[in-house]
Amino acid sequence: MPKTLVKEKLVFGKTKGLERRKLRFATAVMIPTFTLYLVLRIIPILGTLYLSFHEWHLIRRHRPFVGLANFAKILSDTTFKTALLNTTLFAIIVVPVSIMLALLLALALKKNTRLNSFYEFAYFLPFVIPMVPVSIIWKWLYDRTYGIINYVLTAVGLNAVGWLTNPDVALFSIIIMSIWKVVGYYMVLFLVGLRDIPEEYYEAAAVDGAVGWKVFRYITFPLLKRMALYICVVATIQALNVFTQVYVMTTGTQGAPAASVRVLVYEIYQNGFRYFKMGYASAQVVVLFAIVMIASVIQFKMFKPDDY
Amino acid sequence: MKKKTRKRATNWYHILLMLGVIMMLFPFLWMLLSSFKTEQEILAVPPSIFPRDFTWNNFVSVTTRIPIFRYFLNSVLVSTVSTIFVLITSAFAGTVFAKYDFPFRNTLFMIILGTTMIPFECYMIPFYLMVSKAGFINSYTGIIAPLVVSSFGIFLMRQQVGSVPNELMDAARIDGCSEFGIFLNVVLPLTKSALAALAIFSFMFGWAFFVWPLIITNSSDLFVLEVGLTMFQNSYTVEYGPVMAGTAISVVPLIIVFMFFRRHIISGMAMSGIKG
Amino acid sequence: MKRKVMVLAMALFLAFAVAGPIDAQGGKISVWIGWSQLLPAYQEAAADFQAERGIEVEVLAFPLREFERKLAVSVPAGEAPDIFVTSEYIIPQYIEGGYISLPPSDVSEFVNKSFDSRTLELNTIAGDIYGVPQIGIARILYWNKDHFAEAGLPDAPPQNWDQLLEYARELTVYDDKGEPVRTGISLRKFGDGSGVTEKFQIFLASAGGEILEQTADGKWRAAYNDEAGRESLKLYIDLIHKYKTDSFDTKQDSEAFALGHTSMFIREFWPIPYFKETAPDLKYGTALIPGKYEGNSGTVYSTESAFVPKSSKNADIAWEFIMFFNDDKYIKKMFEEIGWPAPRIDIDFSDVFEREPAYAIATVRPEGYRYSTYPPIGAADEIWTRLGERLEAAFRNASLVDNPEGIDKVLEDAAKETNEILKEHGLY
Repeated sequence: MPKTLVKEKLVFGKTKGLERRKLRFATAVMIPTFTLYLVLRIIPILGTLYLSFHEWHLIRRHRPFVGLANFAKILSDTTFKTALLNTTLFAIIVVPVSIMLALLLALALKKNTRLNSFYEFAYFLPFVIPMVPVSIIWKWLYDRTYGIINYVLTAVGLNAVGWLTNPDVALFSIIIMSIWKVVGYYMVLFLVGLRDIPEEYYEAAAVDGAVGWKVFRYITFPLLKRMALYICVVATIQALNVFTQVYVMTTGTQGAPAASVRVLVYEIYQNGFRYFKMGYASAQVVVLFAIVMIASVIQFKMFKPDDY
Repeated sequence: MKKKTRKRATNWYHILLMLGVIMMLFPFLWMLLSSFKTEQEILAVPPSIFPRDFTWNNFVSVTTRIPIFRYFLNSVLVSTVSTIFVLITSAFAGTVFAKYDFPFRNTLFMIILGTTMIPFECYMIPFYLMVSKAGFINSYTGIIAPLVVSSFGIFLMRQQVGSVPNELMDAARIDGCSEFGIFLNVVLPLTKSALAALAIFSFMFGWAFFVWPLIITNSSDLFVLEVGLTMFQNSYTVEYGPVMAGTAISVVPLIIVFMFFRRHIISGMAMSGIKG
Repeated sequence: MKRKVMVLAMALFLAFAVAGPIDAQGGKISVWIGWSQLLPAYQEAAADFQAERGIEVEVLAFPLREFERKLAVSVPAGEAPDIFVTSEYIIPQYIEGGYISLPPSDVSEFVNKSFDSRTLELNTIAGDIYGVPQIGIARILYWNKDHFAEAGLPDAPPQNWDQLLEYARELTVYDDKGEPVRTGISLRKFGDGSGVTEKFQIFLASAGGEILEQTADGKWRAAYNDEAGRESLKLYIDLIHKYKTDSFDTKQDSEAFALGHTSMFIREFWPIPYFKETAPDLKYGTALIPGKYEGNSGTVYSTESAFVPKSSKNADIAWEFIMFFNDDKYIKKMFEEIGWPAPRIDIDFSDVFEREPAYAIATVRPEGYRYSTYPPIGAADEIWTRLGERLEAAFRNASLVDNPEGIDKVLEDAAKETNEILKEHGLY
């Protein structure tokens, strides 16, 4: 803590002194914080970059530099392609669907009433609970023979579904569960944005005779744009990095077939921690990072927020 | 006439929302109900909604097979300590990013935000090697290390402090307050609810942390709850009852905390929104 | 808000006061295992050891994959436990890396005279035996006697593949749409890739095939795209699709067998105590794997041994504990209560067999019965997993029925991938 700064007296009229003092406070705070970031995030991430240029086997002692060989291998790796495809499909469905649902919910719950705050609680709850137990619960709900979902389906005369065991369905089961998990979070964010819009705007619109869709199109949506951008970016990053639910739901003999739900982080994890090919896995991390970056930049460009 | 249709519309609206609520809460309810059933009842077709032979056996089985109380406390410790760190680093850095000018400010902020784009699992190995060199394997320090800074926290606090009026800070300066004093007496009080929300969030984040504690802890004294619960998962057969009971033990405290602090969490969440 | 926080803080403080001070380890040895079933046996030995020697032994069990991951991370970093138990196909890469210590001479002597030759041979890596074998397991066939009687079949397991197919058809119970509701056999069709390959390997072995073969120069290549491989895959396809004796939609494996949802399946020995506990009324038999041709069969055999890494600071005590655990008392207990047989030739298990006749098959070793093993190469897991994923897809592919070209293509493509992995590891 910057003890010397606490004691320092401010001399008025000397803006230079003030600026210097502010700068000193800023540096005193930023140096330890950024050092922590450097050690806890940036160095390990750079370490990953370093590994990506090596044939770095977790157990073997010989770990030669191989240049871009790992990256070259990714290009011809069909499993990686499957993973990329699955991840893209996952993101393309989860991001828009969860955001649309969240927006609808937020519009419905805009008024801050008692009942609405109960709804808020219920929809937000899944987001608060860690992914591991949540995935374990869903695995049980999805169980082919004993799962309650299939029981309800057969009770109303429909066919039971191999939610996790059928390779054509498994990814969609994980998508449903993932939307369930995040929709409340985006809803709350939208609610904040909605409640921030001054009531006068709506009143003015009402005077002009605008109703329903028009109000949304010309008042609500433009004012929600920045929030929507934020939600889109966060949702996309989360979707592209999907892992835990896939990992939990594929383990065990009754789990989902890995090939059909393989996503990028799962593939990275498999290469790194199952086959111990850390160098190759790290190269895949670098590719994943590039994909996430590009996706975020595209979203910023598409929404064109006025400032940021 | 008009009133009637509106009423019908509100009814529909509540029915739909309620259906949604049931979908949201059902998995947790089902977990709780299952955890009180016997293994036979869990596997019965058709399934029963409420336990017919109410039993505590699943909980007894979990608590006797692993020192779950100890694991629980470890989880509390890890989550609490990491929360304190996150609060301190985020409040300071958020304030400085929002209100102070210094070289490379935007670059640093972008770097900090950029690190959130890679999940921790992806750079865990270099991290492990570093922690191992520092001698912190199998220690609380090692478990907590990745949790002490939070990009989300800095982002949130920057948004919040951004809405603190500059005039207030300048007024404090005129009164002879030091920059640290301003931070303490002006900024913190005005961002209390954001800090509360951040606290709860990092607590829950620490609670959910799983892969890293599993890798780094080598003695059961240091196991956190999520790691401890894997200890009794058989590789081949699934014992649904104890698994559900164990899951309930790890989830119910969070649900309670959430119920307690719901307002703060949601309003704090709200603040992460783009305002400043 | 303030009060809530205060209450929370107080509760926390009290909780820690009750839990007592948290101290790191001191003067104890640690054991890691990848099978939680083994935990009770090890813990009992640990408690006895502590009572006798005053040294604490902490035994930790992790789910298999987490266990392998923890090993891979901690052994090279020198953070490994004093003892860990793992299989002969996991350990070679650690031995190559120079992380594993050789046992002292008295332990080696014990190992050499106490285990069967197959186990010893399998565990000899670069001329030395590094660990003390704890478990040696062959995969066996389980058959439901009530179902056999119900279907009018003889009270004996199938002896060859033709019988297996015939029995499976007789045993399957169909619904009115022609879909099986009770399957004749539950094959391993999906879940955790390498396990799928291992079960396929059993059929390969019973037809005289192998997953990999070693060439004269010590290199390896895929061997399953041969007659035995084609026959094995065809058998799966016939059982699943042509005759619908198995289904993807019913419960699978041991769980299904315990519940009477399937009549036959293949596993290690651990289902025996599992059935005893969860389905005590189940009448079943255990048998050798039926061969493609009668009297010419085989199965998969694998072992688990206890190793001491060089990083252990208490190696003497570690070896002492390993020997302590190898006492008849724990070995028999492990066999009888958990279903993990130790391949010991110096222990008489007849009392165990008397109490649980299903175990007796463990010692039945007819002349010429093949034991297919995992190759001692680091790439094995990757090869098995990748092949398993291809097999999973193939097993679902109904167009492979009566389609020898299709089957050929599956195996050929898979073999190409297998050889690629071998090349990448410099083993081709």
